[in-house]
Amino acid sequence: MTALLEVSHLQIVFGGLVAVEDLSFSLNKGEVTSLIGPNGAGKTTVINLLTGFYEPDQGRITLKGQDITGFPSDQYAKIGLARTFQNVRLFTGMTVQDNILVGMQHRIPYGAFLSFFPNPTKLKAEETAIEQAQQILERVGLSDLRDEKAGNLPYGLQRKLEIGRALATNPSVLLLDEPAAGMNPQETRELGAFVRSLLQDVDAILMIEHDMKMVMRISDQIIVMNYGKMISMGTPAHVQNDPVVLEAYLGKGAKKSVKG
Amino acid sequence: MLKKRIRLSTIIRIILIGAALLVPCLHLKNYIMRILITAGIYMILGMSLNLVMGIGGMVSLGQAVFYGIGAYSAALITLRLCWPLWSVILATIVISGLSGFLLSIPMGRVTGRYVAIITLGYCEIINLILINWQSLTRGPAGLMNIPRPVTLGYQLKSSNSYYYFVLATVFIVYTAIGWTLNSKLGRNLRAMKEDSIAAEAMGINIFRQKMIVFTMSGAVGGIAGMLYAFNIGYIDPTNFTNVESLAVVSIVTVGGLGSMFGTIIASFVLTVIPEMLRGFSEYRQVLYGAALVLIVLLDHSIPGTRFKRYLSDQTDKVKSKFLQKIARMERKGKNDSAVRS
Repeated sequence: MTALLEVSHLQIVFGGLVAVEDLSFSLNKGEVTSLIGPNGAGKTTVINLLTGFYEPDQGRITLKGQDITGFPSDQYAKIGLARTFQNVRLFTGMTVQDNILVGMQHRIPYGAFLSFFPNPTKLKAEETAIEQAQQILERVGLSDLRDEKAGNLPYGLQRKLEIGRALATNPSVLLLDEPAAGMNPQETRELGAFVRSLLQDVDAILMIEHDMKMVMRISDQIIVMNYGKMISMGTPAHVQNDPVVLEAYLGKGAKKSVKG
Repeated sequence: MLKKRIRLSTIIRIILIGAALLVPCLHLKNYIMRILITAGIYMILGMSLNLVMGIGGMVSLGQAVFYGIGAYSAALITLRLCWPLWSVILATIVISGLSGFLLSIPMGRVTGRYVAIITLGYCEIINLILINWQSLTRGPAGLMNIPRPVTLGYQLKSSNSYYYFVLATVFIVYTAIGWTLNSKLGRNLRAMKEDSIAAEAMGINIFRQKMIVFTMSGAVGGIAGMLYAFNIGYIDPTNFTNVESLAVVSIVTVGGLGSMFGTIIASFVLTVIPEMLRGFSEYRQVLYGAALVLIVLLDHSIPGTRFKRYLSDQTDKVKSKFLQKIARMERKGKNDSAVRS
């Protein structure tokens, strides 16, 4: 198995707080990797580092062998990294379809100048883009609602739309920040299967999630963080039985309870 | 249902265009034609500000800059170089577009009220340049005897012919902005306004979007300035101060942020009201101010769009409730079947 995304010795300090310390891991092709840990462990910071919202103080990030450390954050969509946000960040005033089209924007082959007036290049590009957007909407099950304002969708569908928007950038690595937050057990189970199925569309998935059942069921690899450090990494079975993990979650003396 | 609504708005637009085309047939007084021409110029200036404020989501308090630069470049090129109309238009667009681009350069990481402060400062700087660069602009004395443009061998001397010239320009600018906003660029700009962080994650370069929108706004504002210079025939720096910028801000706010059609209606209403109040002499400005406050209090926008917005708000609410209900029912159905199996 080849490593698609490699992170080595990543570190970032905010003031006196070491938010992420000496973090190294890699995402493999065809795998779902989950990033878990107590609140404030630095999980979202990792995603922010991976998508250029923060610049690491130390360390290197490589995607398919290319060093992407410190790229400006608008470059990541082009090189194949897409993310969702912990608290959904849709373009709420725009339609569902327009949200997807914004995600596709770097693949729509005409520039600002051709936007100003109707011309064959623009019309053709828009037509194919709308077709592709329709496929993505079908993929996430929102094709009936494409003319709806994104802000009008119920919460669960907004989450799905956000995943769809990330898929629209045609990423090789998908970063999901707590996709199941605020969902009930039934929805969470469906979402788990859906996330797993996304491996048909992308090469690898990194997911932050608090729902242990879902994490244990769909992950190939789990990374556990606490206070900015990685404290354990491995298969679900390995992580579940790691005493260090139990201690981080439940305190000393706890036994085997992280199991899903 | 959606189809019907689109058709209705098209009908309204066609009626308005028809009415605008027929106005000169009424043989109105020169004075009234002049008011209509001024309204047309403000429509274009308003749309240029609405690009930055309504579409790009940045408050600009310096729109008079583009107005002034457009007016001065058109006037100077016509007076000193005697270029034909089409070259003057092109040069004006390029020069004022460049001035917009220049303004966008310090905007890289700036957001919110700081954008407003930068634009305010820019307006002040350009105004001082217009006053003090006497060899070029003749300073406070201003530029006089700017001739009406000649097109197709015919000078637009009468109010009626100039009225058509302005009307055509309004139409072209409105249509071109419509095209632009219905494209990738328009979507990206709206995305930037809605959530610049998410937009960046989608690969949109925010700085580039700001440059494009300010350049566009500058070019459109310059066209308005050019029309003003040709219309009045005399310009001086006092025409292009922050007072003018604020007048445009009120037009855009009254017409509704992001709505070009609203801007057009608002420019018309806000140009006509002060003229109607002429009889009240010194109380005129007070009444105008009160009218502005009233309009904004009643609605934040003019009555016509108010009703439309109320309707769409209501349908939005109903729809969102409906969708939530469906989602809940689906969930219930699934849960039931899960329990049964």
